[in-house]
Amino acid sequence: MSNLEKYNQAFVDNFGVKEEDLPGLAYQAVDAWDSVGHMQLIAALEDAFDIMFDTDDIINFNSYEKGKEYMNNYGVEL
Amino acid sequence: MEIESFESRYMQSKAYLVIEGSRGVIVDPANQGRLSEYVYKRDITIDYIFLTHEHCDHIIGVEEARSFSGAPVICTRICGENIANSRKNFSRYFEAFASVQGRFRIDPDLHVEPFIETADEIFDNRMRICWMGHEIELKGTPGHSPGSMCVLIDNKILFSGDTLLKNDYTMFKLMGGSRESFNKETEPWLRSLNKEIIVYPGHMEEFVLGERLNKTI
Repeated sequence: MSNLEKYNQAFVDNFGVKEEDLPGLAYQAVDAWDSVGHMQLIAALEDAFDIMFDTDDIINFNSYEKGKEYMNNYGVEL
Repeated sequence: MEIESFESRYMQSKAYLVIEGSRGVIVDPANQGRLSEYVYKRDITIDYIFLTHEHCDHIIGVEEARSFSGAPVICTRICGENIANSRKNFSRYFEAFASVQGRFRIDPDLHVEPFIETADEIFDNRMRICWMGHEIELKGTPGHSPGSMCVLIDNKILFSGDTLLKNDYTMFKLMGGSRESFNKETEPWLRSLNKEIIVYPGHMEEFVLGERLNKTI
């Protein structure tokens, strides 16, 4: 599985959305991406890529696209 | 028997002090400072520290409580494992979680560094303790978290942690939470109890068990 597939899978698994709906997806755009769901997503990404987000990055990770930028900052090329 | 509660700044979690004479037990040392001051002021000897579950907003005062009291920290086996992991006790994510929820705007001085804790005694499903003439039952109640338990005293008073709250549904979405476990193990046990029991939850005010069970959990 590629990094992008793993990244997408975290969203699909945690929020119950389809992969084709991920572009443009933002925090609170779906019911499952609330504050609790956000932490589940972060934990899933940390597990999948063996990284640890800084607190500020967790807070500012507010969309599918923004998350991609952060992943690159942690050395994960998508 | 007296019950004192101490609300924490961390998610308004409740620490409870059960007092009998000059002895006491602590349920969830969620509060730092005021609880210990109260114990010192009344010269209460603490015999046990019970943890209703592993989440950091309920265990943030464990080290302080153990330090000033020397009392053993008791919880379920899974809770004991999870408090020793900053991700599973949620302290790793607490600041971000609180900020995302907007709570830092209310309390900008609130800071929680990732931390771990240890338990002194653990049990799998049920533990009974005789304390100052009272019968204390510790019962594993998985659902809100895998390590959750309730503390039942004399079949009259129940400390429910986040297993049962007055006006909120029990939250199963946090990591390790399970509606299935709650339905299978915890809810039947709660419904088997005396309906007149007064419940002291981990957040907000107390309530009568039977009245709460008449509503959707």
